[in-house]
Amino acid sequence: MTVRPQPEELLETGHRVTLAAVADVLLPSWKGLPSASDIELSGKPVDRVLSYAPELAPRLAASLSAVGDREIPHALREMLENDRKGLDLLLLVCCAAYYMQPSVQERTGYRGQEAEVIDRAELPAYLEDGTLERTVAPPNVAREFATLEEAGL
Amino acid sequence: MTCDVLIVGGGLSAGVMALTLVEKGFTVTCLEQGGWTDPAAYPGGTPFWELARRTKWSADPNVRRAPSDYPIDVSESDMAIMLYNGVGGSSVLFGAQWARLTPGDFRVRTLDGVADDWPISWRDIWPFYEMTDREFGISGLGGDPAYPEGEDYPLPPLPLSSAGTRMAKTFDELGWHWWPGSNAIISRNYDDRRPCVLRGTCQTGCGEGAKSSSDQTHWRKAVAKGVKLITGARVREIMVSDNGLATGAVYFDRDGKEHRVDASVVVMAAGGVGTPRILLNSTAKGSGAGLANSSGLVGKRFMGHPYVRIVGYFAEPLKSWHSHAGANITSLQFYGTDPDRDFVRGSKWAVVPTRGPLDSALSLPDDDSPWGENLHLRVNRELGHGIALDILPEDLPEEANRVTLCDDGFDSDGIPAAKVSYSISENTSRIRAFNVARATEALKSAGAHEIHVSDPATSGMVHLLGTARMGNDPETSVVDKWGRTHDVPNLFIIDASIFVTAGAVNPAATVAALAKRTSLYLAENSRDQVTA
Ligand SMILES: Cc1cc2nc3c(=O)[nH]c(=O)nc-3n(C[C@H](O)[C@H](O)[C@H](O)COP(=O)(O)OP(=O)(O)OC[C@H]3O[C@@H](n4cnc5c(N)ncnc54)[C@H](O)[C@@H]3O)c2cc1C
Ligand code: SF4
Repeated sequence: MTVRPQPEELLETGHRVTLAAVADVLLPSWKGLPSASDIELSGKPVDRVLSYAPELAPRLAASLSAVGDREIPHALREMLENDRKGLDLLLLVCCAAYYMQPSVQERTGYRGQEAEVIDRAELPAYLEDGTLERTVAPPNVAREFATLEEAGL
Repeated sequence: MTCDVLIVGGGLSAGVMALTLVEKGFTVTCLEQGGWTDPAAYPGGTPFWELARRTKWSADPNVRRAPSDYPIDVSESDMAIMLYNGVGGSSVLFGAQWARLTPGDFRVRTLDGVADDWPISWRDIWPFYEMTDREFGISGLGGDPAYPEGEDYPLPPLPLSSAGTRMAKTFDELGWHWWPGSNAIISRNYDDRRPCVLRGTCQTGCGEGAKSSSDQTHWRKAVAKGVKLITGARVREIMVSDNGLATGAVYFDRDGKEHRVDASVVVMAAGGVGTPRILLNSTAKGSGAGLANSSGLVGKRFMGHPYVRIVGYFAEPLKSWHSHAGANITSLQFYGTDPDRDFVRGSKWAVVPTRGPLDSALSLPDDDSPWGENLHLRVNRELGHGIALDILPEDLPEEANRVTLCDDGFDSDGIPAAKVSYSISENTSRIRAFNVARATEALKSAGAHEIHVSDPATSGMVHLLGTARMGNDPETSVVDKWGRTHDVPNLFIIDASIFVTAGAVNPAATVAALAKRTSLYLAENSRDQVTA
């Protein structure tokens, strides 16, 4: 049996509050896309990310501590200059949580990598329309080959 | 434990040799530091795929940090090092582009006066390319005018994506060479495996078993036929007798317990970083500088194909994340040396799929706030609208680019970590710049309105070549033309370390063909083989 970590074990409440505020600056609502708080990103969506990659949790907590209770855009800009890794981590966790949400996927049209059966009957167009027939040997490769053939190498 | 042949490392080259030799009646043992990877564990079909690529399924061992990984110090390298440690080796994560070197690649010194010629010519390797194409089940189309004539591939090519179709048309209009990609991905049922379903997640492992990683194509069969594959076995050093012959290897099991395996012949297949690491950590009597290293070249001349990904963005949706992750189409238009350019050698291009929204969201430039509306705008503009070209420049061998043992870093068994020191050379930078300019032209003429070029600092090298080069002269090479080390007559190397030059194609086809060639040579000449 696998024991799932409890939300509090993944991220403590204080950090969760900061994360909610940070995530709304990173991912505001835009042209029909929900904002981070619209999907309650700092709850289940972020738990999903941290349950999959628990090694991110301590680094996330450190980045959120670095933000503290400062004005968020200001703190983010400072991280952009002095702590790019910390900022990247915030972006990774928030964006991973965001783009995995069905309501977001509905809007972006990206539902993950989908499978498709190869159509065996279909003949590639390039065999029929003459494109492939027109392709010629690349010039340098052909020249090198001719030189070697001439020298018997 | 004793055996005829001990193979160190259980990756791509090792699989080819293990299967070939067991079928010829040899007793074969292989020591592999990782384990089998269950295809059901691959994240491709799950919502976590994009996250997985950046965490536990990263190709960078320093990010992945699995128990089977060893640390690689890249503090003096322009790019990170990507590899996989487990049965199948890096082929578990590879993109499966399967391309041959051109005849000119074997004669760079003769043609251009730089680097070195291989001690073999294209004619020596061609039959082995054809044999291993069948073993791996390569999908492709014969008749590419870039290559000498030969057998067709065993399977028809994979279908072109919308990006592949558009770029084929563009190359055709420009009068440039192009050809449907050849890939180690099966396009039809083959060898008890089912065909590709175009999910595009090949570089985090293929859950369908359609990608021809060597765990699928060789290792399962090799073990069924009697090869003793010991997983979780991390080799510390090769043992050598007083008369300078290899006698076997010392390894640690997963519990840190030390073991040894004795063998008549030892074969190194631990990859372009793993092999020099073990050889440099081994000693022969009277030699302080590692095993098989009288030339001083073990670990040196590392080549990595520091690739550039250039993506053009188009107004219309192309669903460009959807395709297998091998080469859709390739172009060798700028391959080889053009005497009118200010650099030697050239590059291979491949059209590959773009990725999901995380890729766009996390690659915003620094100069603006990479969040908020900027982030949404970027994802909206890029997702599914890009055509990506992977450009592989030919790296020339340079002694300063090298693998050494790390002074102050160790793996979990206390073996010194590897250190890679690597700078992108002036010649390689020029190849990259020239090709980026040509690719920009091509993408623009295909209709792209915006172009992005990848940054080396955030990319990794996946082709790890040249660190135990092949050659006729023991003073300037580590192994002879059969992969036998000059210094230790019963020690062979078959992995990507033995490349003399890198060419500008993905190396797996050549690694496999060379491993096949050495395997058959060993089998045919076993009576004359010196053993400890
Ligand atoms: C992300 C990625 C994409 C790639 N894409 C392509 C592509 O599209 N086309 C292409 O041609 N090539 C590609 N490659 C490269 C290709 O996979 C390698 O060139 C090929 O696998 C090299 O084979 P090898 O036998 O030299 O080493 P590997 O296949 O890497 O095998 C080496 C094995 O040795 C083991 N080992 C190392 N050290 C020890 C030790 N001390 N003890 C025990 N075992 C050890 C490792 O665990 C590993 O399993 C890619 C590689 C990566 C990482
Ligand atoms: S695209 Fe094909 S080869 Fe790649 S992972 Fe999917 S099924 Fe496997």
